[in-house]
Amino acid sequence: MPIKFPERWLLATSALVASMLVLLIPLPGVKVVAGLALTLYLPGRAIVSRFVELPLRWEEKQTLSIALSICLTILGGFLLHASGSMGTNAWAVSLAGITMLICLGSGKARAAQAAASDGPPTALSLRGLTGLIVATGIVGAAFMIAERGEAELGQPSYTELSMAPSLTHPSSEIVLEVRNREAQAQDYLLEVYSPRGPIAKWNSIYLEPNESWSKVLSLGLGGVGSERIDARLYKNSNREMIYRRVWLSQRVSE
Amino acid sequence: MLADADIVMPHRSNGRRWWMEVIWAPFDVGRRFIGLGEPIVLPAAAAQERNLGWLVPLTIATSCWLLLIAVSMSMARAGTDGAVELYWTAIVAIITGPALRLCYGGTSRTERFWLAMLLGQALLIVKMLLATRGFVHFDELLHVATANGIIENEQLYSLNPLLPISALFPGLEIVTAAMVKLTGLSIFASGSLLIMASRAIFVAGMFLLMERLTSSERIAGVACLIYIGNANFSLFHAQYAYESLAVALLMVALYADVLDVAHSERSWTRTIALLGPFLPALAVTHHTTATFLGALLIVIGLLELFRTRSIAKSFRALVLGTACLMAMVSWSKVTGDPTAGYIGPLIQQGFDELYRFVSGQSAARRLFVSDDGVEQHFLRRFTSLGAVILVLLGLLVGFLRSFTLAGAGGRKASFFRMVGDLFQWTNSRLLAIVLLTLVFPVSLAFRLTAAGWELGSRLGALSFIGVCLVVAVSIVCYLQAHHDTLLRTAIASFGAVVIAMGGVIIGWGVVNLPTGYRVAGDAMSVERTGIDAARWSREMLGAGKRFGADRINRLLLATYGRQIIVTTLLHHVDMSKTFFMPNLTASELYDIRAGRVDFLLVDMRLSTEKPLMGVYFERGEPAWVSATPPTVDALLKFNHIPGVNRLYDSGAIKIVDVRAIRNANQIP
Repeated sequence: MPIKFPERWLLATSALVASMLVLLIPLPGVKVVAGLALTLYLPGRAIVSRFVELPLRWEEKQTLSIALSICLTILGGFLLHASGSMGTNAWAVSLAGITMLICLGSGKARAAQAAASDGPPTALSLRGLTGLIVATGIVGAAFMIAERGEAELGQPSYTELSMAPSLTHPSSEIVLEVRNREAQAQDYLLEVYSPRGPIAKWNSIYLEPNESWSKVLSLGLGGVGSERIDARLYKNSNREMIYRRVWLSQRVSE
Repeated sequence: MLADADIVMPHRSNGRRWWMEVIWAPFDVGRRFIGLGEPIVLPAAAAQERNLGWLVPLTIATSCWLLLIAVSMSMARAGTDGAVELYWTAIVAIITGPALRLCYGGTSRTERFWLAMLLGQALLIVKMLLATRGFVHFDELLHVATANGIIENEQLYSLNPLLPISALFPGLEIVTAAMVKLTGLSIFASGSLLIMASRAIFVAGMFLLMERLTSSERIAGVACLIYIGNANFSLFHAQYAYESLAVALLMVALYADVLDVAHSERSWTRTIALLGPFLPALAVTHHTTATFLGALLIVIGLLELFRTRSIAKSFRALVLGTACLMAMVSWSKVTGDPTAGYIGPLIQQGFDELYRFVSGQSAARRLFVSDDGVEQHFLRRFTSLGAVILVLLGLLVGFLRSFTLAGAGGRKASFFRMVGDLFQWTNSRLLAIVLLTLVFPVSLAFRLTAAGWELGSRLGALSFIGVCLVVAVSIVCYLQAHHDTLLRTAIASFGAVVIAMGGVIIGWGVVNLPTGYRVAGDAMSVERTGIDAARWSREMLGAGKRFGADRINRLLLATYGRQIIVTTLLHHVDMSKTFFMPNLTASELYDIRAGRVDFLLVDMRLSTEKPLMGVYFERGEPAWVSATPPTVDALLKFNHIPGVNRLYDSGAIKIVDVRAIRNANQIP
């Protein structure tokens, strides 16, 4: 005769294992399953297992477990905020701790409920299971089609030109950047001027779609005051029309 | 058995007053139609409770229709003809199959439950197919900004200028943060999984609640089907937003309450364990839903008090309701009463406009017309109106029958006795849910007004919990009660599909298929150009800069760019004039200074059309701003202002640096 392990011990152990998996196993799939169990299932399931005496159907148990888990996660978030940390470790320990506390706390166990409740709703036949797998595959295909359509169809075409003070040396360096978001590869011409004349010029910046080009310009400027640096971008070397234009008044010091 | 004396028509037997019978006959027909004094007839449940029936074939069929919806979306993006027709055909097909089985008498309980779940998830997937790479809806991006703050700072209450209240009701974002931290998934993946879980427990909670209340899985299944007719179900409650989670928790809380009282032995420990977590969690997740739950529990307590004349028997519900309201009010007070400034004006404006509308001082809002003046297709308008008419018809037929289901009435007697019987209910919880339907006509009236539309929408979603039950009762206990034929099943299914489609059409409005960029069109305006500009701002300027931008770009700047947006809601500075005025005057410069604005993001596409959602920036902007598109010259005026730098140019979007003129002593 198989030994029946009490449900609350099983839940407490599951919570402990899930928290350890989250913290110690770097595999993404494992983290996802364990993390979802901790946030969306185990704490609520512990309450249902411990406090509900009525025989519940499978779907009743799962519904209550998920909803109560969400509530406990929300309330746990406030405790973590008060404790000063909402990092991964704190979440894993607190949610596992809540589950174990509910499971192993004092009070009479509600073993009758577990014994009286139903199992899974219906055992699927092989055909039924195959059908559900097919349906899941079709929905997956739907997402792939939608994702591909979103990525490729009806997207705007444009080129980004930017010029901003460098984050590391804002007073002496500017960062020029060109990003090609057009449908095809482009050949750009870029000129940079100051009021005193051209500073730099690139006759051919060839960029494939989604490719970018950037350059840090060190400005050896003289005089006092501010000086306007003007960058003009031409597409396919068409000098007739400025395609993009940015400017920056660079503060100049002695 | 009824005695002759109980029969309403006087002098029927002797026939001397035949004219009274003639006069009374229409009233008697009407009485029977609305169910006054009519006994309730619950069709027998299917014998095989666990039979899956058509569930698997319908799941495969639904997935095929979802595939076609994905194809229709790609067709719409590519501008191919027939996308709209394919899309709506697939939506109708998704609902029709399960509707037929849910209305059919021989369907097992298990099949009903899973069909309801299938419908709920399928309509959620329709919404998810529209944007598979990130959240795009307006409210979603508002909450992503809050979630970003919690995840990155590992602290609550990060500032969210776009929706300050969301940082103070962070239930949704806390769960998302926990999921992100523990699973390593992105906010989009975690948020989507959370909304799928919320949808699952919402539908399951509704089915189980209705089943427990009515003792009929058939009514429960049909009620879940009818609830799709609530305009918020298909889109608004499918979004990553606090209300989506809150209504799911509300539904399970109501079910947990019913489950708790179903125990033979009263136990406060169990009550606190089962319902305790819901009350504070709802209070910190969504203000309106928490208030609604508290009010509903108090109504249940009062109904119990009226019924039993015993404080002891009504004490539990009254205490729970009061605790819920106190939790909500306390949280509101702790966080500085943000709801008063946010919801208060909304309610005030709604009632004001409703009063003006009722008293004939103002015209009704034009239905089925977007803010840019485009009308919905006539078939969709016709279906939506048909849905409202069918719902009202269902309420007429099902309202008093639902009373009977709650133990009140159902006995044919004199008119006054029949009315008196309505006060002799035995199930206060069921009655409270039924009474929710009284709010539904009010919500419809609010929907006819421009300012009250939002309030009507919220009220409608909550009152529809009662509406779906009553309409389901009208279908099961009237239409199919005595003659459960295939024809009646078909008629019931058709009606239910029309009601559900009405909800889907109204819920989606103009945003159902991708159509390319639209100005201030929420999901239709979120695309790569704006996202790239926002990302650039973070990479090249650093996070935390103060930006002025339009309705859509401010969302992208806050979420993808992690920038601080200057808004009327938080900073009391209206930036719209700064963008739309032909010249930069002292007034606009004052706004830049008052908002301590660092950068402005100018979207040249605003000049191409009127805003689809009615405003270019935010509600309350000057009427002239949203009346006509701005001129290109107005948007480009910063080119000519000395000291203003243009740092970024992608053609459509330009980012200008206004720090120099903000700090200058006079207008350059």
